[in-house]
Amino acid sequence: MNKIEFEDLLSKYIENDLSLNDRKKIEVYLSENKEARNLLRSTEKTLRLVNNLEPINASRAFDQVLFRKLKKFENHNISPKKYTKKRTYFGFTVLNGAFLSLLVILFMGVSFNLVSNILSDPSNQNVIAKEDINDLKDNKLKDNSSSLASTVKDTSNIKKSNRKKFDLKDKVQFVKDKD
Amino acid sequence: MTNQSLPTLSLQAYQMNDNNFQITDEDLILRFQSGDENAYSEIVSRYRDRLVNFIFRFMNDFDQAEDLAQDTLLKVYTHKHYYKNIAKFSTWIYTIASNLAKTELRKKKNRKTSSLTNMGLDDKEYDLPAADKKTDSETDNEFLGKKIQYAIDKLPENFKTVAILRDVQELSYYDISNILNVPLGTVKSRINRARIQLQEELKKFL
Repeated sequence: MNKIEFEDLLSKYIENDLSLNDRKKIEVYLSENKEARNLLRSTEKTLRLVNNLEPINASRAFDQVLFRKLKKFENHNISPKKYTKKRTYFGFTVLNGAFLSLLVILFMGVSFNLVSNILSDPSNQNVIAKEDINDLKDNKLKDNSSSLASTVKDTSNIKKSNRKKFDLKDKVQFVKDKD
Repeated sequence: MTNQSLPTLSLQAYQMNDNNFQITDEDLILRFQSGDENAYSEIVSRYRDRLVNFIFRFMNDFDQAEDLAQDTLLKVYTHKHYYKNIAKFSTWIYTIASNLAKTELRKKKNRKTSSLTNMGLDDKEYDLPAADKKTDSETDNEFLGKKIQYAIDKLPENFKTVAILRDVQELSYYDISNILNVPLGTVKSRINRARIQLQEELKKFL
């Protein structure tokens, strides 16, 4: 046994909380080591002193002060509104929820009104019709351009054999022109 | 609850009889939970001194010890339904007191106040008593008491708590383990270390 092991088991030895084997080991160590004996003696004395410390009692005014504190707590708790937890629905209090719902309903109403106004106005309908025609034209143009684009794409992908055919055609045209 | 229902905390008003001591702390808190305000008065009278003593040894300040002991009992009053009958009542109340004391001690350290209670050894009345008074055993005891308190104060917080709970309050290792929520082995090892450190501090006075 060394000093560290002895110190680790010191309290257990004092409180008689050791196995017989450990107790024997400690007693052998104590018989051989004066420093360990001194440590044991002074620790036991310290323990006795701490155990015999004069208890500190509460003052006479303790109960009155506690009563005052309790009274203060009760007075603070008289109005339940102050301390009751607010109920929330999906994270919103009733008031906030109502306000937000009102805003949403107002927004929907205004937007519906605007849309219906636009649709019911005949001048707006002409504009819409013209816009539709323009859209159709645009779409047609887009279609043409897309077909042109595809033909361009096709010519770019002409194979050598096709080029030969094209050359022949030129020759034929040339003959026709002569006619 | 109205003010009239507050428990009467004066001992004269609360008639103590032998039967009260047969009732366990756990029974008292259960009675208090079901509305018996007198049970609370009995809890106060049983724990008042124990709590003041424990917190005083922890804080080394009597006024603060009383204040925190009152806060502990106030918490018992306001949080009575938090107590579950699976643990010992003493464990619960000491846990509250210990947490309050630790929080207050940390606040005190952070504030670094220079109040008398916070002054070092030289500023306190730890001077050796005059030669003619040395024979007075009361003065000697008082002197030694202050030295012990000073040695306790010097312990690290976790050692201090276990040392007070075990050697001053004389609680069991099991209860201390529950109060501090640390394993039994840790409690035993901390107590051992705390005692050796205390012995180091006090050996010149032994």
